[in-house]
This record gives sequence, structure tokens and C-alpha cells, in this order.
Amino acid sequence: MLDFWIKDMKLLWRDRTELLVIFLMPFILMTILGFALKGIMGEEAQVFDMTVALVEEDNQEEAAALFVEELEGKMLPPVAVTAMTQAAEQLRPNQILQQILKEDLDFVTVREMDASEAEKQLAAQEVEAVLIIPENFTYNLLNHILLDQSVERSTLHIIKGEHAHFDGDILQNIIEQFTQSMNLETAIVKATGANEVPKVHLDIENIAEEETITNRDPITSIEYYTIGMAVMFAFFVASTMAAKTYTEHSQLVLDRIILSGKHPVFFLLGKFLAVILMAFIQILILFGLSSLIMQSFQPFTWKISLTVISITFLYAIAVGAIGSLLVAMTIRFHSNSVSGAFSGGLVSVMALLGGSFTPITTFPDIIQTIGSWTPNGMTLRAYMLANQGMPLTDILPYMYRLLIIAVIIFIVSIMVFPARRTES
Amino acid sequence: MLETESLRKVFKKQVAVDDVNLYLKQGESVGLLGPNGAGKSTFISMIATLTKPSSGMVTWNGQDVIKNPNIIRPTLGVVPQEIALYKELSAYENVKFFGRIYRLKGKELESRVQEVLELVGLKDRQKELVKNYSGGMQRRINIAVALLHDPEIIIMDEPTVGIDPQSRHYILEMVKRLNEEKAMTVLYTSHYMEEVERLCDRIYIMDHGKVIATGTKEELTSILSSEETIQLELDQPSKPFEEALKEQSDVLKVTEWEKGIKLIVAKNTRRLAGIFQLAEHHQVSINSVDIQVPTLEDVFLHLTGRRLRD
Ligand SMILES: Nc1ncnc2c1ncn2[C@@H]1O[C@H](COP(=O)(O)OP(=O)(O)OP(=O)(O)O)[C@@H](O)[C@H]1O
Ligand SMILES: [Mg+2]
Repeated sequence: MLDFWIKDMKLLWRDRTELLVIFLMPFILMTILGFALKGIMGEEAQVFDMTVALVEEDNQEEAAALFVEELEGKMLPPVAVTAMTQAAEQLRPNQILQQILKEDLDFVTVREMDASEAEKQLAAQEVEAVLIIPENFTYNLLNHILLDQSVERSTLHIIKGEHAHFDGDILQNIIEQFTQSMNLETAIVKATGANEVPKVHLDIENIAEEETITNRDPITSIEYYTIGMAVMFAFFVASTMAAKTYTEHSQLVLDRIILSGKHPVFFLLGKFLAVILMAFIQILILFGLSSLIMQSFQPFTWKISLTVISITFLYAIAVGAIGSLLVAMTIRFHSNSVSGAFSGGLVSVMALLGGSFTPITTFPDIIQTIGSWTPNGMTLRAYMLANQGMPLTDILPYMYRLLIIAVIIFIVSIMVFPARRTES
Repeated sequence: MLETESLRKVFKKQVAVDDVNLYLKQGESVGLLGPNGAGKSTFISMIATLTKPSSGMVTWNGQDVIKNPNIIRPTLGVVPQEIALYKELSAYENVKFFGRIYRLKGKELESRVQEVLELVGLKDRQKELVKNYSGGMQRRINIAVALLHDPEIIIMDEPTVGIDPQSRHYILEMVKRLNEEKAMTVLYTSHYMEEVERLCDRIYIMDHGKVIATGTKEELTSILSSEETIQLELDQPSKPFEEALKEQSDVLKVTEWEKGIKLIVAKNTRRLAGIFQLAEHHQVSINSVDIQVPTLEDVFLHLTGRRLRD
């Protein structure tokens, strides 16, 4: 198998024209598209923002009234009752939360709606997350803080959008800080015995900072098209390999393999590995050139680089599997029209759907969905997430999906590949 | 011994090989002669276990090859009709790659590679890319690859098609040497009768998928044994002389050619003295006489009414 691999690598390596197409074309196109379509990514304007659907199931006025009403039934000193009543008037956790979200954090847009509407809008990707303030939230909290009753505390509920995990994470972060802060204030109130209104203080500075670190700089058009061209041009390694197979008298070579007693599938494996290695090198060269010459993907970090390399490796395997399928079909049908149709048509369609030419967020939903299932489309997303410094756990789903697709395509290629002459 | 019995191959509706019986004894050199489309390649591909026959048998020392292709594969060296090489690789890299397929390794691989390159006379130019080779040199490497694993039988499918006379001569001599010195069994396919005549102990003539004649060269040409052609070159044409020749009892046919007259006569009648007498009588001078023994070409013409190549 190693022999086949080496032979195929040599063959690819010596074809200068193909090499130029494979290595230089994506760089040139990336440069052209990157400059020509500068601003399509909204580079200057792009600030991080998110829209949150607020579902309020709690009625804070009623809760406060109920709390005061109940106070009176309790055998408490009148002073305490007065103080607590005052506190209850002022302490509106719900209101504080809403104020933070609506006014203090200017990257958050809040839209109030009911639960079913929120669900709809989340599915339609019109909002990035849903925040539900549960029934009795205020009432429970007042009891908890002021009476120290061990009533169960209601928790705020967050639903993250499939499409916006990152935004959801940030919202969760905010809510956690809010809750902690409330707890802390409660503890202080209790410790000092003062019936003062706890001050809620959110570390907004911190949230904002974290937000920009995680989000890094918004992606530039050069970066976008580096990724777009990388995932697109890898396909041409696969089709080039198939086209070469057609011209190499592969049936005769296969005959020789059969006569030698070796299994012909090694022939296919050699091609598979050669495509993997070539595509891998190709993509890394493109990223390398882009960051060296275009100063893109800065600042450099090892963590992100390693993630990018892992994604590249997986994608190279997927491209290898596609190459393997093209080779198998070329031999099976004694025709190079399969690889021709692939490189001449299918690649462009997949590149468009996958977002290599323009971000697909501008496309209709159905096309976005199809695009996200193309190997190049899902890889493009994985690269974007990695570039934003997202943790591996958020990227892994894409990588698993990619691996599964690669395995399926490779198995199909082995089934298509004629292990012996099939003329009957 | 390799033997076929009623071997047959049908493609869709076309019968490419039609009940062919052929045998190949150890150390023999056998020719398979036939025009384009006769079914030679298809036949070869079947005995090389690369194409499944529609019906019939192939046996190797009595064992069924169709059922157990692996009993014969290691002993076969097959030279395909087309050049099956990587043009972007050098001759050396090609031979080495195929050597690896045959599980040769290390020193043994290297020495075998050099041996076969030497054999086909391209040891000095092994580093050049195959695409820069002449057609004849490419054919020689194509043969070298088939010899790597030192096969007992070499099957060659038109190894000299479309190449320069020098390479052709080289290949013929090489095959002869392999057969005579190394006792390699040879099955040589061609549509050049001279090659088969020169190289082969026995010959099968194929046409339209069928073997139409078989035997040694002498046996085959003796099909035409009752006749021979006498070709006379005259200083001037002479009708009366021609008429007189036609009167002769053992002259079967008289035709004109550009420089004189052609006679077909019964064999061994040696009518030359009479012919010279007649010429003198008609005052015609004969510049040269050429007695032609029938060739395989004539045999093919005789059997099919067509020439081998046109
Ligand atoms: N794979 C195939 N499918 C259909 N028909 C075929 C196939 N291979 C060969 N034939 C037909 O079978 C016949 C014999 O072909 P074959 O190649 O065996 O002849 P050949 O004697 O080798 O001719 P040549 O001297 O041109 O090489 C031809 O008519 C050819 O068209
Ligand atoms: Mg042929």
C-alpha cells in the first residue's frame, strides 16, 4: 500500500500544471475575493450583539403584594414588618435583571413575548436565546432573602439556540453572575442583619471583556475567503487524482496487480492516502500563506492552531474518501466523465451551498440547511468557530459529522470499486 | 502444460473467441497469428485469468485454472498490448514499483530491477522519464515489467506494434534468447507473419475468433505445397511468349507484373529448362528468375481470401 501511495504522490508531484492549480489558485482567488468583497463581512460595523426573547411567567407586583399580605399574618414585630414591606417594594429581582439586560448591556436586545412565540422565533433563528423567568420567581426570592425561609428558589431558565451556542453561553454567563450576585447580597444582608435592599452589582466589564476575547476580532473577508477557498480547492485534489487514474491505463495496472496475487483494493487505498496527504498539505499551505502574506488570523495561538490542524486533518480524510469514490467510479465505468462532472459542476454547487463564495446566512433556510450538510460547509463552520477561539467541545459535533460522512463515502467507494474484471 | 479446450468468449452478441483449442508445452515457443479483431487479445486475457471465459476450459498441468486462477498466476508473465507504464515516472521507478507489487524487497528487488533493465537493453537510460522514451523503448520496459518475477511462461500481446525496426529486432532477439537460453515458454501474438515465422516452433492462425490452421511453419506452408510461383523479369513484354507458356501442361496460371510474367506451377516440376527454350524461341531475354516458396501470408490469403494486414 505504501508503494502505491508513494507512486501516486510522485505522479501528483510531477504534474506541475496541476500543482499550480492545486496550490496557487486558491491563494490567488482568496486574495481577489477577499479584497473585492471587502465589507461583505461588515468588518467595520460588526459588533457583537444578540437578541434574547424574554418570557415572563412571573408577576412581580402580585408577588410583592402577596408577600406583604403574608407578612401581616406572621407574628413579627411591627418595625420588622414595616422594614420588610419597604424592602419588598424596592427589591424587585425581576426588574433588576431586566434593567441589566435592557440598559446596562448594550449588546443585548431584549424582546418580550410569550413562551410559544419565543420557541417559534428561536427555531426561526430570529432570537439567539430565550430567557424564562418562572412563575413565583419574585415571591420565592423575597421569601428567601428577607425571611430566610428555606423555600425552594426558582431558577432562571435559559434556552440556547442551536445556531447560536456562543451567544447562549454569554447569556448564561450573565445570568450566573446575576444569581451569584444576588446570593452574595443575600448573605451580606443576613450577616449584618440589616434589612437593607441588597445591591445587585454585575461585573459587566468582565462580561464584555470575555465576549471580545472569545469572539476575537470579527472575521475579515480575507480570512473568510481563505477558509472558503481552502475547503473548495481541496476537492480538486480528489478530482485530479481520479482524472489521473483515467489516463494511467489503470485497468492494465490492475491486471498486473491481480496477476501478482495482491488484492486490487491496495490500488484504491494508495489513491485514498495520496489525496489525504495532498489535501492536508494544500490547506495548511493556504492558511500559512494567508497568515504570513495577508497578516490574517492574528494573533497566533497554539490552541487555535492545533484545533485548525485537527479540522484540516479530518477534512482531508473526507476529501480522500471523495477522491476514492471518484477513482472507483472512474475505473468501474471506464470513463472520466464522473470526475469531470464533479470538478466541473458539483464542486461549484457545493462550494456555493457551503458558503465558499459568500456567507450563506443570506440564503433561504432550506439552502442553509443543505449547505451545512455538505462536507465543505460543515468544515467551513468548524474553521470559523475555531478561529473565534471556541472550545473544542463546540466544534466536535461538526467533526463527528464530518468523520461519519467520510466513513460512509469511503465504504461506498470500496463497494463501487471492481475488485476483479466484471465483464461476463 | 497449458491447455485450452473449446475456449469461448461472447461479448453481448459478438463471438470474440470461438471454441479455441490450444496447448503450450514447456519450453515451446508458440505463435498466435491473426488480423485485427481476430480475438487474440481476448484469448490471451482468458488464459491469463484476467477475463472469465463464456465457456470452455483452461488447464495448467491438468488443473482447472478458471476455478483456481492462483495456481497459474505466479508462473505467468503477461505483456499487454497497450503500454501499461507511468509516463511521468522514470523507467527505473516504474520497474521498481511493479517489482514491489510482486513482493520483491531490498537487495533482491534492486538486483532484479537491474537484471531486467539490462535484458531489455535500457540499463543506461533507466533514470529518464518514460514519456521521453521512443515507442520502442517504452515497449521494452513494458516487457521488462512482465519479466520481473522470473515467470515460466511469457505471454506477449503484439509486443512490436508500431515501433522502429531496431527496437523490433531487439525484442525479437530477446524473446528468442529467453526461449532458447532460459527455456522460457513463449506465447507470442502478432499480425506480422515474419516475426512468428522467425520465432515460433508452432503457429496458430486465428481469424474471426476461430483457429483456422495450426502446425509448424512447414506444415502450414505445405497447405500450399502443391504450387509454387515463378517470377520472370523480362527485358520487354511479349504476348506470344505468354500465350506459349499458357499452353504448357503443368503451368496453372500466368499473370503479368510490372517487369514481366508470373507463373504458378505445380510444385517440383522444375520447368525452367522448358521456359528458357520457349523464351529463346520467342526471342525474349530473361533477366532474372525468382522461384517463390509460399509464405504464411500466402497461407492466410489462401485460407481466408484476405491479407493479414491491409
Ligand atoms: N470488452 C469488450 N467488449 C466488447 N467487445 C469486445 C471487447 N473486447 C474485445 N471485443 C471485441 O472482440 C473482438 C476481438 O477483439 P480482440 O481485441 O481480442 O482482437 P485482437 O485479435 O487482439 O485484435 P488486435 O490485433 O486489434 O489487437 C473484436 O471484434 C472486439 O471488438
Ligand atoms: Mg489485440
